[in-house]
Parts: sequence; structure tokens; C-alpha cells
Amino acid sequence: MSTTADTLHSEHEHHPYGWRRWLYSTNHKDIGTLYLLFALTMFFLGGLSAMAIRAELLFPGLQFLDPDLYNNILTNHALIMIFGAVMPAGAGIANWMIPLMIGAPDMALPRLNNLSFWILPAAAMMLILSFIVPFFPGGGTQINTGWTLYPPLSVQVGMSMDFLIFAIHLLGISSVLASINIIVTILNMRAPGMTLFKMPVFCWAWFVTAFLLILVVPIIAGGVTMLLFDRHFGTSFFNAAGGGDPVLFQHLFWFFGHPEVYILILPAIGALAQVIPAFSRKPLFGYHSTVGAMLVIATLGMVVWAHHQYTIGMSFAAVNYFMIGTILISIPVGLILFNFIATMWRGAMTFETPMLFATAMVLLFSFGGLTGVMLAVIPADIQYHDSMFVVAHFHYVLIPGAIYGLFAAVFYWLPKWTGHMYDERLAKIFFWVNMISFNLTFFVQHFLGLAGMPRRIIDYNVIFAEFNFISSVAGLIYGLSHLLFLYIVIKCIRGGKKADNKAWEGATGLEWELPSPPPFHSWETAPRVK
Amino acid sequence: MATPPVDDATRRRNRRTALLLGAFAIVVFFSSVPFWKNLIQTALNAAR
Repeated sequence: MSTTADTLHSEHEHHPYGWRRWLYSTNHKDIGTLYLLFALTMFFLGGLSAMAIRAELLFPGLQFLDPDLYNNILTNHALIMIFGAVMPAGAGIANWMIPLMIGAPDMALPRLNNLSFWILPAAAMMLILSFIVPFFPGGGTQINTGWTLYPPLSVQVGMSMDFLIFAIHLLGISSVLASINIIVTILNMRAPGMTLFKMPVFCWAWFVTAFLLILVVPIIAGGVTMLLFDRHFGTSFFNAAGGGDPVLFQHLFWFFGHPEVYILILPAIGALAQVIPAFSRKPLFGYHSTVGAMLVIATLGMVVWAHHQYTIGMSFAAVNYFMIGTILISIPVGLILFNFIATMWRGAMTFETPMLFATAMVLLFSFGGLTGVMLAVIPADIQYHDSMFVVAHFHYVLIPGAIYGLFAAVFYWLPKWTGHMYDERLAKIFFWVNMISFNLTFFVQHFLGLAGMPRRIIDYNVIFAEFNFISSVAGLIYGLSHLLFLYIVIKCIRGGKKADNKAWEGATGLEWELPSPPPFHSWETAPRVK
Repeated sequence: MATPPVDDATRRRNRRTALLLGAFAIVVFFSSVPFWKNLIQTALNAAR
């Protein structure tokens, strides 16, 4: 894409200093940074809970947790990672990059942007309180439902569930507001000449994701509101004794929960669509089909939710529909992966850290998708259901599919954000330690599941001891490897080799026409895209 | 200054689009309670 961008920017860098700069911020870059810092903090908190889970499962028998606390930690691990880490990290990158990539001076609604972010710490506090409250006198029982919050268990749990419900409400409000902002920015704020089909795929990915969020987050908000009413106001939405149906909650939850997977993955796919062409030094193969495939994934992803519920006793016709729909999703996903591989084909490829993570994502996410197809098949799923195979499957989907994509994006744009190149040698060490330990942690869990080890259980039979030991030791290394990531990021922020405007030789797009780091106010004069 | 200037027409268009999307989200939220409950329960009853 060639531009006749007027890259002149006014010299003023007027912005508030100290805490006011962050608390009152309406600047997309500052709010993006806040999102990223928040996500990183929650990522380490979620990681800590994962370490506790794996340490407990190091040997058979109870080690240092009791079953209720184990279930509480398990629930919080999922909620913190999904709502606290991955979603805000994606939103942070979107905030930073979308205005720069479409030539907009800022997000369309900067004050709404501030509100979207500052709801998050309040939500996080509620989430953490839901974990802590049971330890106080009168705090009730611990949350032992897992992130799915199925009734009747979630109706019986103590007051910590109310904190969790309000945390989900706040997180939902934040997500919907951020999504509205992203859609409005993309629709109304593009630079002259930047048509929708000239827009970078990363922006398209967020455009689709934002619509998905607006369509499904209110559904889970409705679901947990009904749960709240069942708990405190005598309704019987999910109470069979009162004429309700507990399975209804499962439908509402998964109507949100399944698209949520694509909400986590699509922004990462969008990032890869920027990274892979840059390091293959070729334009993206199949721009239109990649965008089309994302739209198909979003559409199909919304109508196959009950494949998470094969065992509830649906009719044969219903489970068949959900099976076929689910398997169909592998076609657009496969198309995107094909486009990525075709982009690499005969490209002048180099493997800097963003490309390493991108390649790992293509390979390992395909593997996670493959076990997904296995799980979509009804008779097989009835065997795998609620086993460690499912745990292995969704970690193979979400770690490479979402987190590796985010790592690729962070390493790709870190020079743009900070103005410094990161330490490539350390970053490569981080990649290899992370990737190998990730595989050792989760690959063996497939075998554990196939051999019959149930998920969400604190103790296990001694026949599962060896693989659990491997998984726990590797998991500990995997967790600790992220300290190296933290060090690399801090080192990069503090200094290092100066990054050029265009930090990567093969990178294309408007963001690379701005200085690194970009001025506080960028694209005050809109670029003209040819 | 906190945000770079945006012309009034764009500002109005932004506000209109945001309100439309916000109203849509609220409709989805409220529709989830009676609508999905009835729809899914009808489907479940039919499946039984």
C-alpha cells in the first residue's frame, strides 16, 4: 500500500503529567498501554494460580490444597486468564494500533475509551474478592463451579458467587463499550482512501471480534443476572423444582462461551496476518478470503454452541446439527492457515521472534484444531468429555491460538511502542523455553485424558502419576519462563538500540510511517491512502 | 490538550453510531431473558 501521507505532526506534546495522565487519559496510546499493563498483571496472577494447580497435581494424593480451595483456584485461573489477561491484552493492542493503522488521530470516543479501561480494575477487584471472601468469617463457601458457573451448584455457593457475578457484569460492560468504540472508529475514522478492503487484516479481525462481543456478551450478562435472581429474589429460571431448567443456563453460557473462543483467537489471527507477510517479505496471500473466512468463523461460531453439551441428552437431530456445524468451522480456519502458509511459500523468510511465535501458532493451533475436530464427533466426545483430553485440547487452542499470537504482536510492535529494539537473543531463548515447556506440559495431558483421568479433580489414581509429574515440572518451567518475557519488556522500555520508523524490513502499513515511538498525537493531519 | 481535534460532523456521526450499537447491545441483553428462554425451551420440549 503506498501513501502520500503527510507525516508532519505538530510539535506539541501537551499531555498531563503524573497520575493524571493515566487516570484521566483519553489518548489511545496511553489507554492501550494501561490495558497492556493490566493484562500483564492479571496474566501473572492467572499464571500463579496455574502454578498452584500444577504443584498440587505433581504427585497423587493431597499436597497442600484442600478440594474446595483447589476448585476455587481452578475457577479463578480460567476467569482471570480469559477476562483479565487475554481479552484486555487484545484490547490494548487494538487501542494502540487501530488508529495508527487506519490513519485516525485517536479512537472515535476517547472518553468512553477511558471508561472502558477504568471499569476493568474494579472488575478485577470483584474477581479477586470472590476468591478471598470465603476466607473471612461468614464469607460462605468457596466457588467450586469452574468458569462455566453451572447451576444448581452456582445457586448454592456462598456470597463469593455474587462478587463473581458482578465482576462478570463489569467486565461485560467494559468489553461492550470497548467494542462499540472499535466499530465506530473503524467505520467513521478511517483516513481518506482507506477503504474497508484496504484496511489491514488486524483491523478487520478486531472489527469482526467487536461485533461478536456485542452479540454475545449481553447474553452471558443476561444469564448471570437470571442466576443472581435465582439466588436472591426467588425466581426459578434454572431451578427444576420451580419449573425452571438448569440446562437453560448451559445454553446461555455456551451461546456466549463458544464465540468467546473466537473473540480470543481472531485478534491473534489478525496480528499474524501482519507478522507473517512482514517476515516472509511478501504480501498476504488471499486478503479477501482471509477476511471472508473470519466472517464465516464468526457466523458459524455463533450457531454451534451446544457441542459443549453433547452429554445433556439432546435429540439425535440436534446433536447431529451441532456436530456438523462444528466440523464445518474447520474449513474457514483451515483456509486462513493455508493462506498463512501460502504467504510463507517461497518468501524470503527470516525468523525473528515475532515470526517464531507466528510459525509456532500456525503449527500448534492446527494441532489444537485437530483435537477439536475429534471432540466435535459425538461418540468420541462422549468418551473424552470432562477428561484431561479436553484440558489438553483447549490449552493447545488458547495458548498458541491466542497467547502466541499476542506474543507475536507484542514483539512485532514493541519497537514501535517503545522506540527501542528488544533483546533478540533473549527473546529467542524465551520463545524456545516457552514453546518446549508448553508442549511438555500439555501434550501428555492428551494421554492422561485418553486413559481416563477426569478434569477438575484434585487427586488422581497412581497410574496417572508419571505423566502428571512431567506435566507439572514442565508447567513450572513454562510459568517461570514468563519472567524472562517480563525482563525483556522492561529492558526494552528502559533502553536499547534505537528503532527506526520502520522497525522491520518487510513491514508495511501506515503505522510504520510514524516515528518510533509515535508522537503523543499522531495523524492529526490525515494521511491520504492511494 | 487531551485529544486531537475532530470535526463536528464526524463527532456527531461517531455519537450516532455508538448510540445505535449501544441500543443494540441493550436489546440483546433484554432479549436473552424471555426470548432465548422460550426459544430454547420450546426446542428442548420438541426434542423430547
